[in-house]
Amino acid sequence: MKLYTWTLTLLLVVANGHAKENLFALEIMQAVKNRDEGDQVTQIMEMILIDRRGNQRKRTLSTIRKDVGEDTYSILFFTEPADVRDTAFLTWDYDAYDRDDDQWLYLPALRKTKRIASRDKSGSFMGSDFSYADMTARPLERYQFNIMKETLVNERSVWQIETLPNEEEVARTGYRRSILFVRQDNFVVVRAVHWQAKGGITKYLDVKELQQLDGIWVTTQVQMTSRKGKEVRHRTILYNRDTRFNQPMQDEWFSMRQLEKGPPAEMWQ
Amino acid sequence: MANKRIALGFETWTDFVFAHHKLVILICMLVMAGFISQMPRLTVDTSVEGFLYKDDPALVAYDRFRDQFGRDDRIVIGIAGADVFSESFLQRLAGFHRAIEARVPHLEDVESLINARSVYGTEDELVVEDLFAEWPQTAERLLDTKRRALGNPLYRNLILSADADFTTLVVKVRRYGDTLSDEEALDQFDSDEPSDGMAAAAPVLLSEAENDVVINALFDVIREHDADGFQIHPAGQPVMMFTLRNALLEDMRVFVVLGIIAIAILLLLLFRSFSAVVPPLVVVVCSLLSTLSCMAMSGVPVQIPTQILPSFLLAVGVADSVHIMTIFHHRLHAGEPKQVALRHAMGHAALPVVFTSLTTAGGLCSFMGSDMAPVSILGIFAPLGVFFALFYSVVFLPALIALLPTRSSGTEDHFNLSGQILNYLGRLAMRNPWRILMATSVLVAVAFSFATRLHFSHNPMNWLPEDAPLRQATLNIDTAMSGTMSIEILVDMRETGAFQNPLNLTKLAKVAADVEGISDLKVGAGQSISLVDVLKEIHKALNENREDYYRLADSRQLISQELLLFENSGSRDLEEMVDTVYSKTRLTLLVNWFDALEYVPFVERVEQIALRYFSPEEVTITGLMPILSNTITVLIRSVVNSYMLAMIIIVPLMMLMVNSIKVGSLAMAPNIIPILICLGVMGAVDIPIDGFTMLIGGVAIGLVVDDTIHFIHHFKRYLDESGSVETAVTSTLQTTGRAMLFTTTILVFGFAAFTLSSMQNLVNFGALTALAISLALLADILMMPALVSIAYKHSEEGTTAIEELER
Repeated sequence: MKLYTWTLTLLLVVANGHAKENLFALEIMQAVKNRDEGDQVTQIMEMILIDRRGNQRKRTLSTIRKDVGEDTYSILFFTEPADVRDTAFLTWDYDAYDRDDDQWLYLPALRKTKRIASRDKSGSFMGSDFSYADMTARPLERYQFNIMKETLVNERSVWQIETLPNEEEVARTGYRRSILFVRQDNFVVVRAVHWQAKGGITKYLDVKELQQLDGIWVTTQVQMTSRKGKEVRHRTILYNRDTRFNQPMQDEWFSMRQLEKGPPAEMWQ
Repeated sequence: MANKRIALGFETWTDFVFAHHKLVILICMLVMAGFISQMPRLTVDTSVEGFLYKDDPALVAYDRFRDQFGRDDRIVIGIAGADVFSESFLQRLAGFHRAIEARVPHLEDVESLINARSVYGTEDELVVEDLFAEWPQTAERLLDTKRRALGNPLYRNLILSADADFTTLVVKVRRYGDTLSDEEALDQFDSDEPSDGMAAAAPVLLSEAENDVVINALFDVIREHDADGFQIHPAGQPVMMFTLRNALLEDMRVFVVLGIIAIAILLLLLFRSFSAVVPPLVVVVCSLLSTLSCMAMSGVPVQIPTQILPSFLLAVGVADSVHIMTIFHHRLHAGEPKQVALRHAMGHAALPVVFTSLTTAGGLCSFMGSDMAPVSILGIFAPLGVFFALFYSVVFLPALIALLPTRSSGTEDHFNLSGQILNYLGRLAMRNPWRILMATSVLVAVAFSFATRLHFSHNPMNWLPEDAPLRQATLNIDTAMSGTMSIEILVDMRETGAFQNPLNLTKLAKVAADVEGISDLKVGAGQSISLVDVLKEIHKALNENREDYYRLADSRQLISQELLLFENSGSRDLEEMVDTVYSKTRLTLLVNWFDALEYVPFVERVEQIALRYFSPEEVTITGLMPILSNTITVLIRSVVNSYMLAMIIIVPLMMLMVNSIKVGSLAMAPNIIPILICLGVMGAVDIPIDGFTMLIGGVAIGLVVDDTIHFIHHFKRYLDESGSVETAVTSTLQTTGRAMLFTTTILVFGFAAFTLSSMQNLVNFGALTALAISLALLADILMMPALVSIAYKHSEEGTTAIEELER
């Protein structure tokens, strides 16, 4: 990580041409992508969904995540609200971009598991303002990055980077353009504005709380606001609690059988 | 005495203007420059809801509804072909869909078969995707997609006709512009604290020009893709607004140009002098611009009914000038110097001109209280325009006459023929007064019997010519599909999670079934759509696509989980169907286009059905159809109110003018009868009373009493002078009768110009008002002499019948 920072700083000093800047932007984004997010993670996700009338709904999920080779497996169990308790999603997120993720859903009221076939990542993640695309890494080769400037967010130096996806990526994420604010000291995207290709919605990501746990930066409170022009349409505040890294995990936890059984008892010990 | 003082005042004023005419002209021009600078702010509104006040309960409910479930305006494009599922048709559809997405700006979304949500299940899989997410490569695959599409109740008659020969593509246009710069967008981070974030300022609506860009771009794409076997029919509210607005703007241009040309020609014929043409034209054009500028300044748009204002003001405004100019030229011809002739003309004509302006404005004021917004706006700005015309006639006109070189028209011979005809008719009436009155009575009786056949109508679609593409498109979509008109049943249970409860959802399903079962009314619901349909679809898909599972799940838990699944599926449809806490939902019914009159009983029935299952506090009926149905209810009330109000305003004015209650009442006969005959004609040829023809009464009565006022005013003066009824009538017809004939001709031309409109309602309005005004002149020439000859028959014996009446 240090080597990266040094290289980048050096590059920043040397680079002054436009092409070099773009190259530099790509390097930054590469660093963002390569940032250590931990492995074998357990976490409680609490989402507060707020509509424009101020109506609030709370959703709580227990999540487990594990890297399997270049792929990431995760399983989410709803604990709140009561009506959907034990509803669960299992996702196998493949690193290869030409391969669609696999996703299974378990509905306890129906006692059935269904594989969900959908390649569209622009849809809402669990009814929130976050989309599946927001929750997964971007394939950098499908983007063009430009550094707009260096500025401050919450008194921290950041790079303000414009990202322009190619057509395929626009279709996948639903975003036609984004501006990202990447913290220079840790490569965390602390703010972002995403312009949706359809519907005139602009989404604002704002990291409200960032903590370093076991040397890994974790966004413990992050807000996503969907706006039309200046008007707020909907907001989600996402709290990541009880994050634990390097928890002992078994491969069979990421299976349909586990989906139906509920969260493994060992998980929260 | 008072009249003489007023006349003297006008004479003094005229002398002042004559002496300082350059200053007066300069001031008038400065005032006009101020007005004209406001003109660019004038807007046009041709929306269906524009007929109601913004605070009309129906519109308030509709706005609240749209605020909750989306304010997007939908353009519904019907596409006909032999087989929608043929490879060639689908390729064209996909190309058309993509072209719209790529080339039409300000889009919210484009929905067609290509990206229709397809939810289905297999043994262990649930598929939520676009119908054509993967293009079927083989004939079997295509057939399978066709079978799935035809079997989907959410497609049937909504995006696909039952026999797969018609499909619709919906273009949702954003209502709001999205023009935040990067800087403004980035500023939003600091404004989204919970305390103030939710109540941010309302966004800016898409402007007229932006809407035009959208429709024009869309029409370009349509032109390129329309072909045999792929016939494209665009319809829906935005297309209707665009079509009506273009027709309106084009019509207004034609009316104004024609009006000005007609007035110029008639003035030239009357006064045979170019210098006599310019001042009245300047007066009317100034009145028109001032009025339109006032509308622009107060943010009032031009609407379908108010588009009559420009040509109306041209025709009405010129009458004031004509009355003044007639006397001026008469005096000039008699050899008086210019200033003296002008002073005379103003002294004599200004008072009746003030009075006729008052009665015209009075008739128009009767619209002011109308619950139909554009009619009431006409009731404010048309009288304002009449007063502008009066103002410019007594201020600008004498100054312009003073400035321009004047020559006497030299001869008045060209009036002889009209004078002779007027004389002949007057004498005929005086010699056969009872016959005239008998014939009138018969005519009235016949008209009355026809008038009982009159019916009301509010049907913006019928305003367009029968072969208008929009009418054809709407008809085609209505025939093939469930219709383009909608009614919404909004149910608000005021309880979080109410619509996760199977009991409430079952009630909603029952409402839908009952409404779809309405068969004894002309209007019937073609299709209903609600949350229930989406839940049934998911339930079936989760149960291996078995038909017997196309129903609601019976536990609250399962429904909640199905909804979570739906929220998670990537579809944004849910926010258009239910609020986030499941307390409020909508049931949409699609209906064919009919006259609004037909919607009234249907809306009532829908409400009755909804109230069988939900309480009145929970149910709101809204949507475009209730807006139309409410508009016609308001229309009927407005017609009655405006006719009554017109009488209440004008009859006392008439009495005041003639200084007698009884003569005033008697003099109303030749004014009311032409309008009654008009109503009879409407009944006979089946022209309904609509937002336009309702105006005839108020517009015509205010105009036609002017002639009667001029007639009585001059008749009394000549009777005083000569003591003979016949001489008085003849003199009146010879002098003021000519002015009456002339102003009537201008008005008839002005209103007849509306018959050149592309909008049928305007054609009817123009023809009928022109008829009413012509009949009123005839009534003044025939009935007034007949009436006065009966009323004053004892005049030589010292006591007139009128005087006896007045005792």
